[in-house]
Amino acid sequence: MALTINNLSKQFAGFAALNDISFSVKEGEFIALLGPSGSGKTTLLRMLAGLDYPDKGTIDFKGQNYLSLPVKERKIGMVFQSYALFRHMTVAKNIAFGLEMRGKNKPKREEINETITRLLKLVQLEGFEKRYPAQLSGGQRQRVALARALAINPSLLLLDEPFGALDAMVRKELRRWLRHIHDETGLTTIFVTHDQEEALDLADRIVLLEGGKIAQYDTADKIINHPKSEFVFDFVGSGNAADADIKGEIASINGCEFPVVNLTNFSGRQKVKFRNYDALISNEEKGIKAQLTGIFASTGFLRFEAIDNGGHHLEIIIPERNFDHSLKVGDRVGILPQKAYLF
Amino acid sequence: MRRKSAKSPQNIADYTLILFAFFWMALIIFLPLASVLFNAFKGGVSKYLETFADPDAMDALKLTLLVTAIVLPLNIVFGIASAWAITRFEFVGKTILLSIIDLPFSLSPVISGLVWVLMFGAQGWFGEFLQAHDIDVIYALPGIVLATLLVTLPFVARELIPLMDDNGTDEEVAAVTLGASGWDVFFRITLPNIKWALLYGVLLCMARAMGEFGAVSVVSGHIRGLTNTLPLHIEVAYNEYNTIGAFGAATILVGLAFVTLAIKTILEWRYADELSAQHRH
Repeated sequence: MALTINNLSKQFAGFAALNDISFSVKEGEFIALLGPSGSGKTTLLRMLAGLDYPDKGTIDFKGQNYLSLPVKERKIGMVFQSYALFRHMTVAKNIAFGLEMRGKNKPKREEINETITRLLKLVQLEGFEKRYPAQLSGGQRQRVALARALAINPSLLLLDEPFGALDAMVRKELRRWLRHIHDETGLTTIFVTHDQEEALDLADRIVLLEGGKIAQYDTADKIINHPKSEFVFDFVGSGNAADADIKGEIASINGCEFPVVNLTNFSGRQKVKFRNYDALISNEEKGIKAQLTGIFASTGFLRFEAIDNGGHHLEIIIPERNFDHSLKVGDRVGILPQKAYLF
Repeated sequence: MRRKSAKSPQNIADYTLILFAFFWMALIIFLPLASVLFNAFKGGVSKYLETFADPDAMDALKLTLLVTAIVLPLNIVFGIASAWAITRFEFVGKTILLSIIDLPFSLSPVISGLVWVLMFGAQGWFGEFLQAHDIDVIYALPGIVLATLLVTLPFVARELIPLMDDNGTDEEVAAVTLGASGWDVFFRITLPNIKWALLYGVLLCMARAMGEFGAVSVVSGHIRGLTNTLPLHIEVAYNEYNTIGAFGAATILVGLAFVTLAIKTILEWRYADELSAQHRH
């Protein structure tokens, strides 16, 4: 294990920002710290960087006690949501800054210049040496910020909501590109985000935080298909709730039987949850009886809104090619869950 | 060059407004300044030049420059330190500190002088102690410096606080993660980012330090050749019907104001590229 975090806790004015956090990261792994605001993800990242300290717990990086090392000795490359580029310096000087700060171990001028050229090539900004940050777009600035962080040859790369200030298109593009750079450099990387799509798409494993505690630490596949709690289920996607009769791993609603991932020992009538894509719509009187209140087209699928007899809203998405074109708004339908969860 | 939303004037109303601005400037600023020059040269160039041969006037000029030279560095240090404290930390009493920094703006200069007399004058709190140890504060250089210091205290801090607040701490934190020491962070990141605001603050502070009349008048005692600053000297000369002497000395103050303005303009022109590059967001 490259990074091991044990029992990390931190109180801020009476409330627990971090509550007994423990997890470990393998060398070269790409980890996302995911959670809603106030879940403690940024606090955790700042502790790794040495900008904040826990009340309790340890951080061990490759056998070193990180908490005893000051910021500058941790060799961390950090990227901020606000880019935090030095506005009075050119792109080249920004990138060189970490090397200039080495005092007696400062590399020779030619070496620094080589590093600048190499990194600008890596972040695809060749020829931008003499520009000032204000003359760059948001995406370009964040790429310079990454080059600056990589210049000191860090042993750990930390990114704090790196794409938070960018628009959707640039976000997606930079996301793939960051993953590419990670795979090329093999650098152990930890990034903070509140965007579950970004985390699921990008990270090898995800630390999903809830109120300062780890809700689940798993791969994207496990988090999507085997959520450990209702919070995890709700945070990573949308879903519906319904009452069903539970018998072990099988649930049934009004003649419709479907498998249920049962995380409890309950049986009998229980509230289950199912994903909006884990259901079919039938015109038979089976499953959840409901009335269609809306049909919306999207790229490749259709989204249905319905209301059940108890007045609860339901949302179902179905691939366009599987769509039964006879369905209309106002129709009485049966919604048939295909897979559900009992928390 | 931050925003180019201004257009050229189009109709009579636009031109009237521009004309009015010029007219008002001429009336309020240019005319009085012209009268200074007019009165100073009323008796001819040689009479005017006699001002510079007057030892009292020259002593007053020297004292004014000396006081400014003492007050300026102190205000720079205080201004940066307080702006740093206020924008970089959360602490109890922050709002109180902010209001106290502003106080000299709303305080009458006479009060700013009088408080020092009440503290260090013969009848003041520390009067006896000072007399016993033979230390002159009031009617001497230290009193003039203290009065000027109080009046000019907000200038540097007030320029820096909004800017440093706006800039935030991210750049400084980034520098720390890249291995910069506290010293490096200040001189390579913080200072370059605030240097223009600092310069404006310094120029404003300088102009006020050289021109302060009220507060200095209370503590100075108007001793010719000793505690008369240039503004005080002008008043004395004017009261003695030495119009040419008074307006001659006034041209020196006006000259210093123009030098200050010129420095600012030249620096802005010289670094125009850098300025616009940094501000365009």
